[in-house]
Amino acid sequence: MVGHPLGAIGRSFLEMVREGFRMVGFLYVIFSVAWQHRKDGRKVIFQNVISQIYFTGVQSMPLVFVIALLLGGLLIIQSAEYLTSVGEEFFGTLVNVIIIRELGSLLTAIIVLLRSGAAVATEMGYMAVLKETKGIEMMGINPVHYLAVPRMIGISISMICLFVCFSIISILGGMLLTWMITNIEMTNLIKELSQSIGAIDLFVGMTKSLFFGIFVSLVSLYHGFNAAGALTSIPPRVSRAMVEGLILCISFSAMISALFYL
Amino acid sequence: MDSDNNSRILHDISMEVKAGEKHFILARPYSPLVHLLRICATIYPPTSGTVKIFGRVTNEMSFRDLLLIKRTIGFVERVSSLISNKSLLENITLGLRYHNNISINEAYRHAHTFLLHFDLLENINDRPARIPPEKLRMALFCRELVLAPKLMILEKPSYGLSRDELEFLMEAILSYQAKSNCGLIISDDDADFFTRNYGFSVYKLIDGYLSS
Repeated sequence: MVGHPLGAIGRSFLEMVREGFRMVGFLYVIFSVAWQHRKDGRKVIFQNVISQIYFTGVQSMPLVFVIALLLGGLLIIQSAEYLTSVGEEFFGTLVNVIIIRELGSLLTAIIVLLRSGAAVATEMGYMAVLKETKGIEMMGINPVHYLAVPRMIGISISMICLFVCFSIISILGGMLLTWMITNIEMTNLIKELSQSIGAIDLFVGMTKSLFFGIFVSLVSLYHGFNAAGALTSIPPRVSRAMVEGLILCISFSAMISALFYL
Repeated sequence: MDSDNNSRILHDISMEVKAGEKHFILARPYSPLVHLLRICATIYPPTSGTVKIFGRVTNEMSFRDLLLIKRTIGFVERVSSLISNKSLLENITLGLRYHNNISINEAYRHAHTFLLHFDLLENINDRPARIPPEKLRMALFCRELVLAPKLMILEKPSYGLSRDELEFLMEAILSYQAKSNCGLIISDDDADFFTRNYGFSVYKLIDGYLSS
């Protein structure tokens, strides 16, 4: 029997809300477990955090470098015409609005989501399906503490660091290209940039990155931990994690921008 | 204990394991033996009744307290639960490193006797997928033994092992049991082998009822 289309929409909406609540619940579990077990297995947990930072932060650097450089260049190529006519004072604002406030943190989040988020969701799903998490539990170790907490810490720290690197590289790349293709003086560009980027912009960018780190790790861990049954249940879970992570990050970015700059 | 479709699969189970005792559970194929063992290992809670371990009712415990109990139970299932993307040494010493907050080198020194005994030293840097099945089985037992459990629950220890390997394994486990006075529950196909050679007391699981 085919249900009423409105009913189907309502049911999907309710399911989405329920899923949202379950995810918030899982986030609460991660935080409470991190607090309860704060003195347990510090060496092992620290090692896991470092491994996660290495995988997410260090190994993503070449990718972030290329994309940041391309974005910086793209930004200047698109606006070169206006820069020469409007003048160099436009450069600082442009870089600040596009790179520091908006795209820097968001693009970094998307890179991390696609690279590390997918890897974490797959790894956790694999471990859940093959009962490896049960094995960890039978050793008296809380799987959330051993697996989820270090990944969330590692991804969040990496996200902030990658945002800073992304911003520096794209600004330097943009400046270099502007200097090369326009007749604007480099010293003027630096002066404009230092005047238009304020501490609040950096603070907002870094705060956004921190939350993006939490969101990316949360959706990946949530869907990974909830994979059950067969190995074939993992790819749909990973795909859902990616879509939900993307929606979460873009919505949060829009919300923060509206809150701070409107 | 109820199954997924809410039909009762285990009834009126009453079983006590004291320190140093050895019990063997004999069950027919497709019986709810795995469920029973998992209840004993505190993986599943019973739908009614209680499971008491070291005098404490596990059903009412918080998950955190239950983890402390789980730490003292060495449960080896038929399937491998080693972490696929960690080396054998990391797997075997994980519990030691986590609970004692020690480095992998210190944990290696602690586990060295067992690694040597089970002939696993040459494979310590390999991931589980690269280790022969019989060594993987031995690694599972080794991982539990290094944590010095007070109760060991073994589901079909003969799985994937030749008779010689099984005898070797049982010698290691019984030697540990004699030293630590831990309780031991084993389920397997060949009851005679365990009762005749090692003096296990036998329980039978028939139609969801356990009788001695």
